[in-house]
Amino acid sequence: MNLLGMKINGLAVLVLLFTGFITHIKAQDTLSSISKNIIYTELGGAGGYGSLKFERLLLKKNIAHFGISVGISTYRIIDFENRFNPDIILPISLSGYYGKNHHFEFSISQIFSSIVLSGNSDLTATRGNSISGGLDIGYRYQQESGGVFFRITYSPIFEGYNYFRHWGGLAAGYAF
Amino acid sequence: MNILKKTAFVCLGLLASGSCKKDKDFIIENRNENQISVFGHGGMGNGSTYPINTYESILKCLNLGADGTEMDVQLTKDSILVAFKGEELSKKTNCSGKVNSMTWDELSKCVNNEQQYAQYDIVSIETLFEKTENLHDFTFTFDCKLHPSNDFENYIETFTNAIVKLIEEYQLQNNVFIESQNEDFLQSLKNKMPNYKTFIYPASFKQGIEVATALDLYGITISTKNATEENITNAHSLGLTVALWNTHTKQQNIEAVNKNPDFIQTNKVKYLLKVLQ
Repeated sequence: MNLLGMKINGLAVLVLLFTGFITHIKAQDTLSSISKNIIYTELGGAGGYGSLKFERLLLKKNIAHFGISVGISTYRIIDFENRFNPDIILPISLSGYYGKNHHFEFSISQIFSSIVLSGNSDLTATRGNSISGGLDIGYRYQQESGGVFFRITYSPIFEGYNYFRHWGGLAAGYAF
Repeated sequence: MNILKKTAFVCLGLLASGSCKKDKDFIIENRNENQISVFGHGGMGNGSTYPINTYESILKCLNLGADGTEMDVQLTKDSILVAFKGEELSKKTNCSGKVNSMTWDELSKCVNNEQQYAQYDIVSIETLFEKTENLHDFTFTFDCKLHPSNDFENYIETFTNAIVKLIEEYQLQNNVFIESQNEDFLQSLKNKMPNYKTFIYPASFKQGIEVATALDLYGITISTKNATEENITNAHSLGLTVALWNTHTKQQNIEAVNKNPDFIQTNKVKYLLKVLQ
């Protein structure tokens, strides 16, 4: 399978899962009394060195939870030619976590990255865009009533779907 | 009116304190026209978001106004000079083996993948020189890393020939410093080009003085931790210049400046430029 095909497949999986969640949510309404939003910062993780993320709980069934998160990250705002030209890293993740306050978590991510590097021939600033995949497997602390949120994960990244990198993440934030 | 007076007073106070801060403490007396040249360490240095020895790191350093940059220079199998630190490619790239075991054609297909989502090309020094505007405004330090894949003598001969060819081609005799820990390498280069600016990179200052004097080198490159102000004054009195490196923090940069070296290879390019402005 070629690279483009793998990327499209990765996206398709994400879209299908997301569609499935939304359909499911319409049929259920068990979220009224619990905190549904989390804002947090993550060191490492799918954002590279770190990211700011927002997560929304989509579905809860007993002690199984499913949510979607979006993040934003960058390496640099000013490029190597000293121009405003930020790198952009956008991880979008679907998370499932199981437990009451202490959870086991599994997430899949698609990461859109646009990094400014030197062009091959003239060494001028050129934007390189790519789509990568990621996983998070680990522990999450989160109370249903909200408050402090904490997460530690093993977070491998499939960069451009052609290079596998072992990675990890440490996140802390607030659920409300 | 009162507000205007107060504002003017505060502004003048800030200006005065700012200018005092820049000028205080530094009375620079060295062999570099009483100026300390600011060189990046592999470009923007360790700790930068750019991996060292990449085009992006080096160009960022030059574009910030540094006087030049240090680079870790290695030789390919077909005698092309490249910037790369480390004996084994697999630690930083998607390739494996030694730089010297690969041709440039093979090596140019490798990418530095130290950072997530970014693939940095391996730097050909010739391409860097070819594409750098106002090339002769900068000084480049070649920290020659000797990692041969075969006979060492032949390797030194080929390596020094490649340096000479490149420097002569771009007329950079005064703009390239060549440093090495290996005396045979420096001797070989001195034999070919006595006027090239060569530096020993010793374990101790004492050893540096001995080797630099014996080989009639241009100077010593040494970690700031292994050099005192007295050492540097002594080197200057013997006609040697001194380049300091290993300045990771702001404090280490200030301490290095106070030792009166001629050049600092810094990991904090922006900061040192600001301090020495």
